[in-house]
Amino acid sequence: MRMRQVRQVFVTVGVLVAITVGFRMMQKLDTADDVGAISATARVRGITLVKDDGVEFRLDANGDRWMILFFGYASCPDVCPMSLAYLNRELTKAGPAADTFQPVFVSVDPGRDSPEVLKRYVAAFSSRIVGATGSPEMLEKLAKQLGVYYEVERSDDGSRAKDTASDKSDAARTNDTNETNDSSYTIVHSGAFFIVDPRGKLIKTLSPPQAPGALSAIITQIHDQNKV
Amino acid sequence: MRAYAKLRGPLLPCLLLPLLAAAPAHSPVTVAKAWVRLPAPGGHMAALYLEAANESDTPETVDAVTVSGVASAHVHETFTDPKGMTRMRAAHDVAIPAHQTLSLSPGGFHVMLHGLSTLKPGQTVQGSLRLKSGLTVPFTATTRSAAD
Repeated sequence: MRMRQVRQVFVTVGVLVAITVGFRMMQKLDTADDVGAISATARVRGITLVKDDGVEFRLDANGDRWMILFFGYASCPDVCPMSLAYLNRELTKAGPAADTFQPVFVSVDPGRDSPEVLKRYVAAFSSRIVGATGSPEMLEKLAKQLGVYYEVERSDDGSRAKDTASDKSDAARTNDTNETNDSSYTIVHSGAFFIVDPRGKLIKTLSPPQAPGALSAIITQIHDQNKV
Repeated sequence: MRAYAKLRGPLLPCLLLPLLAAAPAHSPVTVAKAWVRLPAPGGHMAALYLEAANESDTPETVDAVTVSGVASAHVHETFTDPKGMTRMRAAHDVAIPAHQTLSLSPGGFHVMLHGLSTLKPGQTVQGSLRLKSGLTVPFTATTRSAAD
């Protein structure tokens, strides 16, 4: 009778340990579900941008680092500085966990934002953020893959002076911002942060308004679930 | 003496009018917390934010904002469209309801400043809020770095 009770206790403990270990493994393998993946299929593939140091940058071959992507442009007066300042605060708040991530400011204004301009621009916010841009075709491809939308607006009342995107999908309407160098236009763009895993899979989108602590919580969660 | 008594009625307001004009008028609209986010290096546009409180019983409407040393200043609004995209539009006739405060703050209403001369964080610029009622409210805005 006593042996039977001892055996039952061992079996129960064994089952509990197995469940706990299994659950942790599932958490590690499927981080996307835990942080609320928005799409099972959105993935960055075959995207090469130019970093602010002039070096080419493959977004889907980023070693073991996750990416935090933000789309904007250096002449943006309100949302971009506000968002990059927020990003810097959240990276600081996350502490060492933030080292798991490469934050990238993707300029959708290659006509005005050369790598040199971007380097000076992002440095004003954080030394951890990398500026990057690319050809209009490459930016359009990236935008389509992530479901990002951006377009040039020229007139002061916000009406479109030119829309070359009429034959494109809603998800990636873009204009060729490479053909002009004037400063009279603004660009409509997403105000969200895109969290992409090292294999290029879009894991989460953090849309505005971003609450203090929201991004650092995601950073910490992903870091904790994926640390070796 | 009788002549003075006859004139006293119409004369009195005339005598008092200059005194009233010289007295400091209390504006029903006051501006506070005005600041300018300077463009980061490589950027061109600055943004002005402020709070305008209307203490009167009468609604006011913003006609224009002027800032010294800039090429242009336009009131804009940042908003999120139904597709979740962040857009900006020119904001006309922005209201300051009676006994309420209009807040121009990051991610919402702001004044886009183009051609702001080179300034450093911590400096000040002079501006004025012009209302459709004819009232003009001067203010001083402090400059901050883009990363603030």
